[in-house]
Formats: sequence, structure tokens, C-alpha cells
Amino acid sequence: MPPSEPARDYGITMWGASSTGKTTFLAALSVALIRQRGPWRVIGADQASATQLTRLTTGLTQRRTFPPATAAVEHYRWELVGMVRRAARRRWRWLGWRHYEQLVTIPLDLVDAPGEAADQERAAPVLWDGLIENMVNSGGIVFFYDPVREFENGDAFAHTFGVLTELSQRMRDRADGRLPHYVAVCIAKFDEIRVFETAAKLGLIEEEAGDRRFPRVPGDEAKGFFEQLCDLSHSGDAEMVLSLLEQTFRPERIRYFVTSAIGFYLDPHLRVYDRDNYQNHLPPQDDGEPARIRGSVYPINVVEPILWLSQSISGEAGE
Amino acid sequence: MLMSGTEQEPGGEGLREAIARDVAGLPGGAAFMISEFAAAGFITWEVRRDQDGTPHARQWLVPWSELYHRREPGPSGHSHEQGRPGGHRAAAEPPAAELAGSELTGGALTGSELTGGARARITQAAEGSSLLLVCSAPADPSAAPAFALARGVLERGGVTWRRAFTCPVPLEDLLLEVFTDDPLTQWYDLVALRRTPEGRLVFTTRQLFAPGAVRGAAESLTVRCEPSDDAGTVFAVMAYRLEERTTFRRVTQRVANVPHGTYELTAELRRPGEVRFRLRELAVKFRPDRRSWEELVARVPPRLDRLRPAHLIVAVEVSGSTARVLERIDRAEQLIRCVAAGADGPLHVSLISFGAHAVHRDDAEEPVTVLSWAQSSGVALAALSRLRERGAAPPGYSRAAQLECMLTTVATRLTGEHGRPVLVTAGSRPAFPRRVDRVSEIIPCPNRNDWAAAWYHLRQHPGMAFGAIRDFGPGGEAWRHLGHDAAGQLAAVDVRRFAADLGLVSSTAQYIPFPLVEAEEG
Amino acid sequence: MNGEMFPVTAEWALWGKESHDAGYRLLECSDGAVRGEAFIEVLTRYSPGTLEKLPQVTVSWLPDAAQRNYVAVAIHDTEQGRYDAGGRPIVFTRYFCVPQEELAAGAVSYDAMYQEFGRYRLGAHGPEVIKAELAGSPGPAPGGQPSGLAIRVAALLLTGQPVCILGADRAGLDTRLRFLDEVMSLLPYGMRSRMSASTWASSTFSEHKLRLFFSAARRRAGDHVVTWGQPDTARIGHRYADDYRSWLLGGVPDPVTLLAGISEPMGFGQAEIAMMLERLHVSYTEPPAVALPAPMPAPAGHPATPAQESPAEASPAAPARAPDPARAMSVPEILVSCAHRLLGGNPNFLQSDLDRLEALAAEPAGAADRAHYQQIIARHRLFRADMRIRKPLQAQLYRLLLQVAFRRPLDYADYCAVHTCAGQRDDQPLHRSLLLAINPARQPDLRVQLLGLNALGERELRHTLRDKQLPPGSLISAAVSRELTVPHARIVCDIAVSDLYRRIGTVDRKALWDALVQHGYLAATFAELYPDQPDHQADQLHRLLCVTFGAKLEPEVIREVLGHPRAAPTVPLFAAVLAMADPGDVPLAERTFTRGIIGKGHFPGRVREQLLALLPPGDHLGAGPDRAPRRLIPWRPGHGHRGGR
Repeated sequence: MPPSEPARDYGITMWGASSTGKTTFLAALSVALIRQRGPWRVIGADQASATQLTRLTTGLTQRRTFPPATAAVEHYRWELVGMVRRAARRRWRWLGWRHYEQLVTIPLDLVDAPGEAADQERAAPVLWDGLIENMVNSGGIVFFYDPVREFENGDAFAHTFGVLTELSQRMRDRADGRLPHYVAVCIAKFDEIRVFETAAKLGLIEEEAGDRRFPRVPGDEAKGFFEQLCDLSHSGDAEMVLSLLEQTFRPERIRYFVTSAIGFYLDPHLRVYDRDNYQNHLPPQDDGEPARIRGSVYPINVVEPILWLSQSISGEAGE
Repeated sequence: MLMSGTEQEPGGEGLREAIARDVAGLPGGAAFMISEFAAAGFITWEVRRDQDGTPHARQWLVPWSELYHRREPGPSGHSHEQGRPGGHRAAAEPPAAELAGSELTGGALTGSELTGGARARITQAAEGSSLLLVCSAPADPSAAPAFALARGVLERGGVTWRRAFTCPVPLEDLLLEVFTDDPLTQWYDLVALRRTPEGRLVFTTRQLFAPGAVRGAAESLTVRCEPSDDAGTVFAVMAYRLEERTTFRRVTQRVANVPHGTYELTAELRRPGEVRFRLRELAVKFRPDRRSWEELVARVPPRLDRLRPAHLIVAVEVSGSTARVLERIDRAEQLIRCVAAGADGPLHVSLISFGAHAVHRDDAEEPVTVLSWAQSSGVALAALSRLRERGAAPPGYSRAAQLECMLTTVATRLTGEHGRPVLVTAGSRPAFPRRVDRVSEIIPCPNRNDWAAAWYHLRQHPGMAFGAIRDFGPGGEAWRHLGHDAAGQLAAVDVRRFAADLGLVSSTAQYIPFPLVEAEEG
Repeated sequence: MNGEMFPVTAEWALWGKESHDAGYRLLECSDGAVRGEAFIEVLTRYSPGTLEKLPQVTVSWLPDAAQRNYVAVAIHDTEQGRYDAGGRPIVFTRYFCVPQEELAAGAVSYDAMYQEFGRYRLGAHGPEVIKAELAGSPGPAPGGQPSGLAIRVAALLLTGQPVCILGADRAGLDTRLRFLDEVMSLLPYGMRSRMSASTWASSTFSEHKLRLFFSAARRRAGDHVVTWGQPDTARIGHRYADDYRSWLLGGVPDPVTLLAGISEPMGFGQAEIAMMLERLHVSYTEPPAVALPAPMPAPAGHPATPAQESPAEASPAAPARAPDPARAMSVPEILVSCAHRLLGGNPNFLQSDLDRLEALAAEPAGAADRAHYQQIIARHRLFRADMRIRKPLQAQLYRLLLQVAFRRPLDYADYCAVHTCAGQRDDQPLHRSLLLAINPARQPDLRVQLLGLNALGERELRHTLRDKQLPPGSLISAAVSRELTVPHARIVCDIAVSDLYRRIGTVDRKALWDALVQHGYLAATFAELYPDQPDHQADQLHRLLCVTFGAKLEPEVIREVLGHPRAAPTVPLFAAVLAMADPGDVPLAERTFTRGIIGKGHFPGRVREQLLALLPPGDHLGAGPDRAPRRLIPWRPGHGHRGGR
């Protein structure tokens, strides 16, 4: 196995405060791809990453527990593989297009840093440097915004500002003054009661097509939802997060998603989403039980940000 | 029959009869005197019958040394005082032989040794103040000449209705015998309470002894003792005269800790003024009681409420730690026992256990289980001990318990036929909501039960009462409703007051200090 | 050291979360010399990543402000029922660091530290430092050998690259921790002051700073990877590591006790390792002082090859620089290294150098290189006999030296070169072990064979000669070889003559006569070799003639021998012939001899003719009056019996 460093502009960094769901998001990726029944699946590119992929996925599905808190900057080298339908011109143009299927492999270099690394004042220098360096070398960032945590703590802006300042300083040789990354802003934990009810109150819920009829926030409403949620922040600073992101990165390279790594609860007998009974996250109880997942995992909008990022990055690098 | 002259009886029967006659003829409040010439000195007795008819006697003793001169010291050397350094003997003792002789002859000692005051006293007693003159120590050298003097005065005076007796038995014993055998002159009644049909408590008496009852008379009656305070139930005997029916005088007041129940009380007259009580079924100690009558009367509550038939439903939450669950079961047992003991009317008890819904795949469902329905308290207690053996439910979802399903079950099964329903819930967790709850984030009940709807439905039952025994803290909305009529903390609940608040037992302030008797016909 | 308790003072820190925290932080620490920031730094620096199976133990180090060295043990574990704000189990790290000199007093192991400090619940008592007693390290188990895997890992650590151990999933925590101890016991104790290792590290945490760790899969870096339970015996390819490994394997009887006594703090930098190895006489560090010689005139037929340059050999006056251990050594360096090792205290670990030499010996070297090597051999006396190493090793050394520095097969020039390198004069024989290494019996060059066998001893020589039955032509050719030095030539001639003489009667006389004829009956040769010993010359010549012609010489033979067309007869030859000639043929012999001298002598042509004319004709000489005339057909051996005699 030849030793190699992640190539510049190739990886995707998961960025967010502690317990916003970064590692759970990664753990749900495989499940999400399987449930989608699309052409893509995720595999490990080296032994260590493959082992971790299996471990994360079975933790969610078999044990129904959340992954342990990330302690150091973890690198996962995964790949998205799938048969993609392509079209090519025939020799005789009037015959039209020829369609064929091609096996496409998109490398997925994911960096999962502990949430406390994003807090410059409290993080150890090693962690902070690790996170920033990885972001410098990444082509894509998944930015996690946890509305529940924001409602309680209100420190999203402080975290975001610190990281982006440092990042901008280290990459200031860019010509146009903006960072070149692709950013997927994920509003996490859509399945939490407070988030979901807020979305319902704002009238943003629509039913997803499919036999399970899960609710979802359409892609074009996601940004508006984010703005609304920022208004509900504990400190009131969160609305600056959106502006900061749009000023730091190129706006056409930012996309918004409303995600839930574990999804809504589905009664195993009824198999239909129930508006009155949808909690899938069991918080830790007083007698020392860990947080658990109530039922099976039905991730929402986990594939879409990753796929968009990796395709954008690969497209830019020339696949 | 009056007898004059000196009578000398070895057993003193004549004297006793005389005294008994005199005592019997003594009206309440009157008294007469007896002078006794005893070995110790000159004793004046006052025999009195007090207002409640009990005869008493009091005595004043004057020793002979104060009544006799002191012997002069003579050359015969019989005097002891001079010869004794610091001698403090008040009286010298004449040689015995001299006295004995003088006594028999009646003239050898002319009483010259008596002091003037003594002489006067004796003369006065003999002349009028004492009804009887008794010499209880005829051989005593001091007593005999005094007695002779008194007798002489008596004979000289020609009083025939005063008598003088010689009696070897001390007068005190004789008096006691007389008093004991003295028949009652008044009515003796037992003080009791009676409950009017409206529930008020009024004083009443039950006759124990009529005038003329003598020692050994016994009377039995049925009384009912209610829970009383620490001192116990008071058994008081009053005496009255027919012509003064409204005036009661307390003869005896005894108190005993008698448990709640109905007993046969036996009263025995020992002597006038003393009555002993005995309970047939129970051996209790009757102690004298010195409290004032007003104090006792003040303790009598105005009312004694009689209770209606009740249906007590006890619901115990079996989720949580084993220690908590066992404590809840203990409280439930205490409650059931307390209510069963204190309830007047028929009581039905139901027992229900419940736990938490299974939320996670690994959790165990602990459903609402009706362990006994509308049975006697004994059956319910047996079911409770089986529940105790089972212990706590295995741990599962810890944030809520199936209060809503329990209430729904009770609402479904409850008819009004077993009496007034009372629901007591012991537990701590909130209920599962009917649907997603924003605030508590507790998983909804899979059966979609609503605790509030069930509660309101139960409330419709007439007389329905809700009591809650919570582990700690006031609890949420569901618990406030469950403790609508009575609420308590698991560790500190006063079971008796709790039951009283629910109307299952009478209130705790009801100590009945006197025994209860049923109303007499007529 | 066994069973004794050593007092230590431990400073400690507790890393984890409270129930309301989301991120890990320092919860408590002691109020000793180490400050909180230092704890945070070292805890995050030597973090083993996100651990799934717990507990695990990480060992690390830190210096404090006063540059005092601490050795630290960190225990990672969860506590029952402790969860963070996100409902995930909190992994607490209890960190204990002890001054290195306190541990060195008893060579205390990591396992002893873990057993003792693992019992402490931190934060329950106040912020005082912990005072405890730790058990000293027990001595090596009698008869217990360190495992091959531990030796390999210890050697790999000296390369400076991290070492990853795979396949130990089933091994328990105690087993893995004791393995770390075993590895570190095979390194100087002082290296614990810079060592970082863990009983487990996350395989996806690719930037961790641990030097030695167990993991589930290799990470993306230049780690050395070993597999649990599968010791690998291949060469590592790094000089320090290979040297150290062979030293541990065979060089020293009880390395553990020796290394436990070396307690000065030292790190894993290559310079420090080099010094350490030198101190242990495992390896040398001063550059091999091999000055590049002036290029020798290339012998005919050999193109001059540029000598191999090595940086340290730029010029003799260049400042000394330790050679890069990762780079392969060149032959001169290896040779010098061998020389140093032989001088050093533990010559037995020569093996690694010999292994290197083995690899390089396969390629033939150019003439200039060989000359260079021979210089080195000569200077460092690498052919000496008294090396105080095991015989097989010495034999291997000689063999390899011969292989690299001399032509194969060895020819006479090289043979002389060997003498030179060994510091022997030509007349002094080489010592036995070197001769055995040369293996003269197998050398194709007859001269080398004979000389070598002769030096080995009479018996070998005789055995070989008897076995081989060398053709007389070769013997004679060898004997007259002009390249031979005088002593060697004497030896060879003597051997040739005596062998031929021994085989008298069975020798191929025709071939012998041809050879003799070709070389002038060796008269000149012998004259050259034994100028002062005419009698010996005559003796030898006599023998040769006997072997060739028998006891008596015919007149034709005499005329042939003494009248050799090209070579002038010598006096000893004449004497030998006289001894074998019939008395009637003596005048013939005399006449032939005289003619021969004059004819083949040194006179110029005209004088020679004049002298020859003065001599009586030789035809009617030689026959006595009573001798019957003989046939004039010259007798040739093999052409039938001599008639008449």
C-alpha cells in the first residue's frame, strides 16, 4: 500500500460543533444509499477505512446506538462506486445517441474532526491545527448547523467566525478573496421535535413521494428555513452565520440541505409515518443509559450533500 | 340498742356493730368523733361521710408523754433523767407493776400524773364531743388511767348514749372493716358516650350499683372503645342521689389503653368509693387517672361520623428501582390495613400494577395488570404480598409510566356497585402523552390513550376521590389530578390522615376518651 | 531489582467531559510542577484517536519547564452510566506522569505503573501529587528468550519510523501492554523518556504521533508493519536496525539487564541512536577513513573503471560526518566496518556486515576497485589469523574478502596479492585458515594449486598429486612459468621434479620429453633458481633425465640434450648427463657440450663461427675402438625397444 497524503482539493471535511451529528451522518451514509436504491454505493478504499465503514454502519443498524464521540481527527478514505448512464454520439449522427453504462468511481476522502476542535480558545493546538489544515487541503466542506444546540447555547457564530478567519488567513493567496471550497450547509437533526415542529409551523413541510410518506423540506426552501432558524438562536448572533458563509465562500458553491441522519420513527407493523408518533431519538435517561435510536434508521438528505460535493470536486479536478 | 357500762369484747364485735350503726346512720356530710386510748397515745377519730356517700375517718394523735407530767427524780433513784447525761427522754416510765395494779384497782393511781390540759381534754371528750370511747390498749399503763378517768366522767355524767368500749384490736382496723362493709347510700353509674343518629356525641351513664349494694357487687355491660389518645379510655364512676339527679360526684376515675373494639366490661364494687373494672376479652391495666373533669370533657369531639361503603382502588407503579417499588408496596399495604381497620361500613379493595411501555426494541413492556378487583382487604393484601415477591419490573424506558392506560383500565372496569370509588396511585413517573409532546418529548402511548380523558370520565362517579402518593416532588399535571383529594410523599405520608382526607376513615382528631354505649331503647 | 519497591511521585490529570459538556477537556489536574497547559498539549498530542474497545493504555513522555523528563501512562476507559450532552459514553483518560529517574532506579515497567495507578480514582482526593511505590522490574526469566517479534520491533524502532502491529485483536490489554514492555526492555531504558506507544490506535486517525501501536489496519504513512504472532526474519535494510537486531540475536548474552542499566534520557534521533549503538559496540559512527587511492594503471585488457565514490571519502581532510544509515553501504565502507568491529569489543556481530557483503559480492568489481579493496584489506590486516571470532565466521569473512577483492578464480597474480594483503613475504606461507579459504585444490591455476597445497602441508600435497596425476607438460609449464617469483618457482620446480620422479615409469615420457625439449631441459631455469647450488641443479636435472630417458643416455640423446637448438647447456646439465652417460660416450658429451656452449653462448656470430671452426669435428668422436658401430637412427623413446642394449 503506497503511502500517500490526501491530494490537495480532494477531500471533504465535516465541520461543526460537538454533538451536531457529524459522525452519525457518516455512519448513515451507507444506509441512505441502500435505502435509496440508486446506482451508488460506498466502499472503503483501504482496510482501515473499510473496517470503520462497517463498524459505523452496524452500530446504527444493529445496535441502534450512536457512534462514540470523535476524539481525534479521523480520515476515512471511501469511494462512491456506481454504474452511471452515459450518452455518446454515434458515428452516424442521425442515429441519435448511444447510451451505455459506465462504472464510475468517485473518491471520497472524508475528514471527521471532533467538534471541540472548532473552538479555538478551548481546543488543544494540535486539534485546532489539524482541523484547519485539513480544511485547507479539502475541496469540500459539510457544515453542520444544529438548531437545538443553537437554541440552547447560541455559539454557532462564534465557532464559525473563528474557523473561517483562520482559514481565510491561511489561504489568502487566492486571487478573488473568497475561499474556493464547495460548502454543503446541513441543517441537522430534522427529526427532533423542536426542529420539525418549527418547520411545520412555518409551513415548509411537504410529503415525500414514496410508500412511507416521510415529511421533508424541499431543497429550495432549505435556505429560507435556515434563516428562520437563525432567528431562534439563543444569542441572536446566528443570523450572521448565513451572511458570513456567503461572504467567505462563493455563493454559487453553497447549497443548503435539511438533513436527519437517523430519520423519523416508523412503526414496524404499520410501516407508515405517523404524525403523532415520530420520535426516533431517545435521549439519555437519568439512570445512566446512553442515547439510543428507537427504530430503524431512515436517513434524510444524507446522500445528496455528499454526492453533490464529490461530484463538484471531481468535476473540477477533471475526472 | 344502747348499752351502757363498760363492755369488754375480745373481738370487738359489739364495738363494730356500734360503729357500723353509727356509720350507717350518718348522713352525707355529717361526722362523729371517737376517742381512742391507744398504746401510742390519745387518738381522736373523726368519722365522716362525704357528699358522695363514702365514709372516711381521720385521726389526731397526742402521745402520752405530752399528757403526763414528768416523773420527779427521787432518792429511790428511779429517775433516769438526771442520771443520763443530756438526757432527753420526756417521760419516765413508772415501774410496770405499779401501773398494773393501779389500773385494776382503779384507785391506786388517781391520775395525778396527767396534766391539767390532758385532763380537760379527756373530760371534754367524755362529756360530749366523742360518741364512743374506746380503749385499745387496756394493759397500757398510760392509756388505762386515762381511760378510767374518761369512764368515770361518763358514769358521773349519766350519759347513756355514749359508750365506752375496751377492745384489744386497734380501732383503725375496725373502722376499715366497717367502712368496707358499709352499703352504698347513693347510685353508682358509669360515664359513657352515645352517638345520636345525626352523628353527635352526647354523655350518658349506665347504672352500675344501687344504694344498698355492698362490697362484692358486680355489674357487666357492653361497651365499645374507639381509638383514643395515649392516655387511654377513661372509665369514670359517678355517684348521685335520686333526689339530686343532676348532681354527679365522681367516685372513681380509671384509665386503660383499650384497643378499638367492643368489649364486655365488668365493674366490681370493692368498697364505697372504689370500683374495679375488668374486661372479659382483654387483660388491660386500669390505672388511676387524676385529670380534671373539665379536661376530659373538652376532649370529647362533638361528632362521630359514620362512613359509607367504599371501593378502594390501589394502583402501584412497578417501574423504577426495587427499593422504591417495595416502599410503594409497603405504603399501599399500610393504607389498606388502616382503611380496613377504620372503616365502619363494607369495604372493597382492588389492586392494580403498571409499568412503562416498551419504546425501544430491547425494552420490556410492563402492562397494566389488575391483580384483584373489588375483593376483601385480605385478598388484596395477599395479592400485594405476591406483588412484593415479584419485585420491580425490568428496566426499560425510564421517562414515563402507563398512567394513561391504568386510568383507562379503571374507567373501563369501574361500575358504582361496590361503593364509593377511591383511586389511590403510588408512583412517580409522568404519563405517556397521547401524541408527540413538544415540551416533555416523551414518546407517545402506543394505544393512544389519554390520561386526562380517563380522569374526567372517572370523576363522573358520585363521591369519586383521587389520592396520590408520589416518590417526591409535586409532579406534573397528571399527578396533580391524581392527587386531587389527597396527596402525600412516599417517605413521609401520614397514612391515617391521607385516608381520612379521602373519606375512608374518620378524621384523625377523633379521639373518644370515654367508652361508647349503644342507645337504649326507650 | 526483583521484588523491591521504589518510591515515585506521580503528577496526574483527568481528561474527559461533564454530563453537560459536548467536547472533551481537562477536568482536573495535580498542582505539581507540570502545568495544565502542558497536560492538555501532551494529552492531545499523543491521543490514540477514537477508541471503540476499552480500556486501552497509552504511554508517552513530556518534559516540564525545567527540562525534567517524565514518563507517562494514560489509561482510557469509560465509567458506568456517564454520558455527555449528546448521550454518548464519555471516555475518560487518567494520565499519570513520573520523573524518569525515579523509574530508572528500578527499571520500572509500564505494566507496573498501570497496575498501580489504575486503581486511583482521580479528583476524589485533592490536587496533591500522588506518592506511591512501584515494583522494580524482575530480572530476565532464566532461560527465557525475548521473542523474535519483540526483537524485530525494537530494531525497527531505531529506524525512526513508527511501527504498527496488526492482527492483535484477540490479544488482551495485559498481553499487549506487556509486549510494549518487552520491546522497550530490548532498548536502553533511557529511551522511555522519548517513547510514545499505545495498546491501540484508531486506524483512521492517520496523524497520530505514536511510535509503536497496535491497530486494526495500517494507516496511510510510511509505517513499518508487523503482524502479531508472525516474526519476520528478513533483513530490515536499515543499518542501525540490522546491526542492532543481529546484536540482540547473537551478540550479547543478557541484553535486558545490560540495557536496563542505561538510563540516561535519549531519543530516537538518528544521531543519538548512532551514539548509543557505538557505545554498545553495536556499530561504529566515525566515517570509514578510506582515502581514494591514485588510480592504478589498469592492467592490459581491463578497462579502467571509475572507483566508487562515497561522500565520506571525498578527501582525507574532509570533516568527519556520520554516514547515513538508511543508505546502503559500499564495499569499502563495509570492509572498514568489519575492521573496526574486529577491533571492537564484540567482534561476533560481524555477521550483519558479512551479510551486506554477501549481497554485494555477487557483482564483479573492476580492477581499480579490487586494488582499492586490497589496499583496505592490507591496511586493516583483514587477512590476519588471530581475529578472536568463531571459525566459521572467520572463514566466511575470508571467503567474502577473496570474492570481492580478487579475481575469481584466483590466479597466480592474485595469489601473490593475497600474500601482500596478508603481509606475508612470498617465502612465508599463508596461514592455514586463509589457505583453506582459498581452497587451492579447486583453483584451476596449477601454480596456485601447488603452492597452496604445498603451504598447507606435505600430506595435502601428496594426496592431491596422487589423486590428480598431473600431466607432465603442465608440471613443466608451471615450473618454468616466468611469473613465478623465485621462492615460488623453486617450490614449484621441486614439486614438479619430485612428483615426476615419484611417478617414474608411469609418466607419459613422450609428453615429458616434448615439454623438456620445449623448455631446454629446464637447465636455464634451474640455473636461474639455484645459481649457487650447482650440485642441486645437477641433482634435479639428473632426476628429470632419469625419468625421461631412463638410467643411461644414448649418444643421440646426449647430443640432443646437450645440443639443444635453442638453449645453451649448463654445467650442471653437463654433469647430469655425464653421470648418466656411457663412459665411451663421454667424449661425445664433452664435444657436444663444448659446441653447445659456444654455439648457444653469448658470442656474436663471427666469433662463434671462428670458435667452432677451431673445434675438432664431432662426428668421429664418441665411438670407442672396441665399440661396434651403432645405428645412427636416433633413439626415440616410444618407438620401440632400443635395439641392442
